[in-house]
Amino acid sequence: MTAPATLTQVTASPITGRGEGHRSQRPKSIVPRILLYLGLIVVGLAAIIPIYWLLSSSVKTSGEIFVFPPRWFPTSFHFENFVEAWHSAPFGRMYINSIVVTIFGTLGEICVAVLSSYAFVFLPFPRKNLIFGIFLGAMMVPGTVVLLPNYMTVAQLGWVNTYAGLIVPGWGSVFAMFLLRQHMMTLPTEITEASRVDGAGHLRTLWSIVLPLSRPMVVTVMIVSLVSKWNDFIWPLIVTNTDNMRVLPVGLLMLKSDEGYTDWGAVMAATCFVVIPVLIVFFFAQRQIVAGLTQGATKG
Amino acid sequence: MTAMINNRFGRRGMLGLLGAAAASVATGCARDFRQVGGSAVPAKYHGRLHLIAWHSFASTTGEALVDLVSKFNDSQSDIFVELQYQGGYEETQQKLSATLIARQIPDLVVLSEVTWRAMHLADALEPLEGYFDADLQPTDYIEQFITEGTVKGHIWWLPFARSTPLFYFNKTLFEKAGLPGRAPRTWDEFADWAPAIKKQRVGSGSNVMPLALDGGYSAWYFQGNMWQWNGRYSDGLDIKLDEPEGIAAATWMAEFIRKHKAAYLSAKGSIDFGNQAASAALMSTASLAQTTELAKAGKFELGTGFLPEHKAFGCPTGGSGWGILTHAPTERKQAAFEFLKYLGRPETSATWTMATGYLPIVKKAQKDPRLVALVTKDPNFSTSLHQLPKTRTQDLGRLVIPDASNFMDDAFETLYSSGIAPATAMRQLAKKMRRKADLLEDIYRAHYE
Repeated sequence: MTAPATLTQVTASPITGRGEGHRSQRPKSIVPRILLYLGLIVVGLAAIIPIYWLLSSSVKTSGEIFVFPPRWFPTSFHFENFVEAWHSAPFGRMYINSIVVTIFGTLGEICVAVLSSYAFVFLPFPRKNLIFGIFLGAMMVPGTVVLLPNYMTVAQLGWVNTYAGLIVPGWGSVFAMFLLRQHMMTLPTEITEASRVDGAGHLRTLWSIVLPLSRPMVVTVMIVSLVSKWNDFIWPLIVTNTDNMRVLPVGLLMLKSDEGYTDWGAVMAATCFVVIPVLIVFFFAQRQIVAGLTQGATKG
Repeated sequence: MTAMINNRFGRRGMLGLLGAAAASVATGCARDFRQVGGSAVPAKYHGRLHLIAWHSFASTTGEALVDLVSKFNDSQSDIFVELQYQGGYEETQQKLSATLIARQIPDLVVLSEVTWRAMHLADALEPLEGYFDADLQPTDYIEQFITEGTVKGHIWWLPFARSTPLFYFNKTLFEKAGLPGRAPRTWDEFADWAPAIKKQRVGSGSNVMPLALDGGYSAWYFQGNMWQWNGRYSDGLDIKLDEPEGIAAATWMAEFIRKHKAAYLSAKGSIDFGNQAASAALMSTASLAQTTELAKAGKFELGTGFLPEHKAFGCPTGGSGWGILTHAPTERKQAAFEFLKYLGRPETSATWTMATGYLPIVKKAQKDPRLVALVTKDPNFSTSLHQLPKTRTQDLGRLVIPDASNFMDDAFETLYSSGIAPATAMRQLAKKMRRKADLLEDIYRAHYE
């Protein structure tokens, strides 16, 4: 649903902004190189400053956050923000919910996307292109439009305020299916034909041939899905009622009131709760992510 | 997404589901409304009538409401109110609309001065006048607030978290600029003061701007300007904002921004005011606590005053209140009203006001010793109470026309931040409002005339 926006978030992250792709065309003379580094520093700062501001503000007192000119370094470490943030919403429970929703949501989405894209590429069935076109059409429909019908469906199923209601509607992602289909189309048909000659059925072909060959794309889809599910806000807000079913982004909202008082130090601290797990995932998986993304860029 | 659900259920399952949905819509009342799901009732409240209340209060305001509700739960032995937070006012309304169609509803819900009108037009609210008894009478509420929730003699919406705009200014800065330490009485007076304020500098920063105008809710604040110029947004659904008075109000503000360069559209007026980039700002009364803290951090003295006048005084009310859903069973509606009666007690109202900065909702709350002490200690707090009798309900155009509160904000942001001719801006906005008002006409007549 929000996949394109997520993609830009991913590309704009400081880790991917390392410019590894430039290695082959490194300029020879000194001036362009300085310019290149200056440019990289600017881009790097643009990515890092907001994150630094978030981290530093999370240990500032409320008053210090608003001071003008801005104070770049907190004068004292006000860790009470974290304690306060942790107590102002049931974040422990929300962590569990977010993790459950993200993991099962992503697994489900990948399964559906792999199976359906395989079907679109390798199975002959009537009106395949028409059906694919309809799916692509569905991708153009903004998420807010399907919010109400989806809510009604989930309510009819009795899934409001349940994990099923949070997770299952997100399994169908045309974007993920589309990415995988485009990748599978590029696989040489000789390989799948050979496996069929050797007596492999569709599941065997999928598991032993197509999936290993599509690994970078599967990783890309997984990351996009992981981040968008972790950050998803409006659907979890609509489909859950009680605090014990809420996820982290909704928890953030609980710290910020429209009118009246907002303790920005606590908001920043709580935002750290939400951001840090994603940063850790990036830290450990950055090689895979960068590979997956560039793969996506050239093959998509 | 829908297409993929299709895959999962199989075509027949999905068709069946659609059929079922269509059938349930077609037969209308055939299937009853059910209560939306809640948490397990804590052991000590077992056996009570379980009510679900949706609200939109986060942060300290949300905590204050949780306190009130647990006090209510402990104060009697028949009713257990479960609070469920549903995001801001608009998100709550959006979700309520969805649940009404899905026929799974809460029993009572917090609605803003705009969103309750939509729910009233959708026939989702219960008329409450029949529920009052000796403990609480409609006349106990502050008049502006209770009349706002009354249409054609029926009370649909009870006040709760109410606020009005207020003129906040930096007293220290005003005095440094050689001005009296009070809010300007008229806009023209403020324009006379502007050059002196603009000469001031704070720290090593640039010159101080006299007035910061917020983008969010700008149409709420401008409602005051309309009345001050003897104009109005609308008379019922009859849009009036492009009449000469309205255009004059818009022109004055546009010139204050463009010619005098004395005001500007701010991303967050309260923050600019707090770090003294602006000497004054129009903000909600509910922002007083935070602004007081910002002033303390910025080491300046905070002053508050009535909104400046022009030909007249004008200040709208805002904020939110409670509605009871008419589709809930009678005994739960009765119980829900018991909760609202609790909120209408003077001591509860005073507690809520002390904790949040929202205005008291019942007259007697103003005599509560804690509030009296607060007013004497912090004169800024009394400003909003003194201004209150002069405020009134906004013109219906902004309140009932779908999405008007949003696109009107956009229009005023454009007026404040671009070179658009004020007359053009108001005419464009009026045209858009008329077009939307036409679509609403039948349902409006059925409910308001």
